[in-house]
Amino acid sequence: MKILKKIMLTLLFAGGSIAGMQAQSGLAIKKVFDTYGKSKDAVMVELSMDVLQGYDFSLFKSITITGNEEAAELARECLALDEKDARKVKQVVAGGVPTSIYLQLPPRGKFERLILYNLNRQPELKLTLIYIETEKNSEEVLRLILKKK
Amino acid sequence: MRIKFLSKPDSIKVEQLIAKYYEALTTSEEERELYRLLSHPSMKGKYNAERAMLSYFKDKQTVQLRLPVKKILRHAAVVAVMVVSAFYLMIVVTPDAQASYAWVNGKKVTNIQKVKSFAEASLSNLPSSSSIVDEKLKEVSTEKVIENQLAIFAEQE
Repeated sequence: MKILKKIMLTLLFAGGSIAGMQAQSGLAIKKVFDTYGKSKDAVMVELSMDVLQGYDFSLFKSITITGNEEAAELARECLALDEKDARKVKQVVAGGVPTSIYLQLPPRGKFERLILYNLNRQPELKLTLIYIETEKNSEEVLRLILKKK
Repeated sequence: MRIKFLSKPDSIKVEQLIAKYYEALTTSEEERELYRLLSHPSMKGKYNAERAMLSYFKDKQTVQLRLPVKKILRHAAVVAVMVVSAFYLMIVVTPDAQASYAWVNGKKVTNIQKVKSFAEASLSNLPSSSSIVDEKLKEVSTEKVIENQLAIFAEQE
């Protein structure tokens, strides 16, 4: 029994550590990436630290889905869940509907976390969801992203 | 190649050791040796009393041998399970850990330059600060908004 306990504890510890290491762990938007990331109407990108050296980000993950109302609905639902834990929420509303939402989440370790969401209906339905981890101030990073264009 | 056969215990040696044992002059090594000699199959039926008296060597031998083997096996099992679980979790649970890639219309792209361009494209989908302000101003200046606001006053009348 003692051995069994040891093994169970080890597995739980290892599982917990690896789950913690995964990007977006504990975030609802992970479901959008998992569900639509490999579908035909989507472009999903993940850039990890090795490629992002010299950039403002430590992790960059994005998904762009075109012409999928169902995916847009799921993304909105997931955002609403993640919004509850957000430190700061910024919204751009057009015609009473939020078209862009920026969430600044509480930091995980030394990383600040950001979720950026945009929904365009013209000329076609296009949803963009971005998850960013950065060692810099998330407010500053957000300002830089929105200023760049 | 030489083959060694177990030789029959030397009965004189056995007798000498037994005599020494009864005189309480044997060392523990000699007693162990005596027990080993008495345990030989050819000694079956002889020296039963002496073998019984020295039988504690039998218990000691099994205790000394069994416990470490069991312990080693237990630890080895725990370590093996830990290693296998760690590999399983690393490979199965986090297949894309610490990697840069893109999935474009169901196809995986690993060319870093292409992946970066897709990342930039997704960022360009976000509205810039200036375009947000412009849009808001446009919204405010539209006649429809003004009409809606006037309609509120009309309702109050």
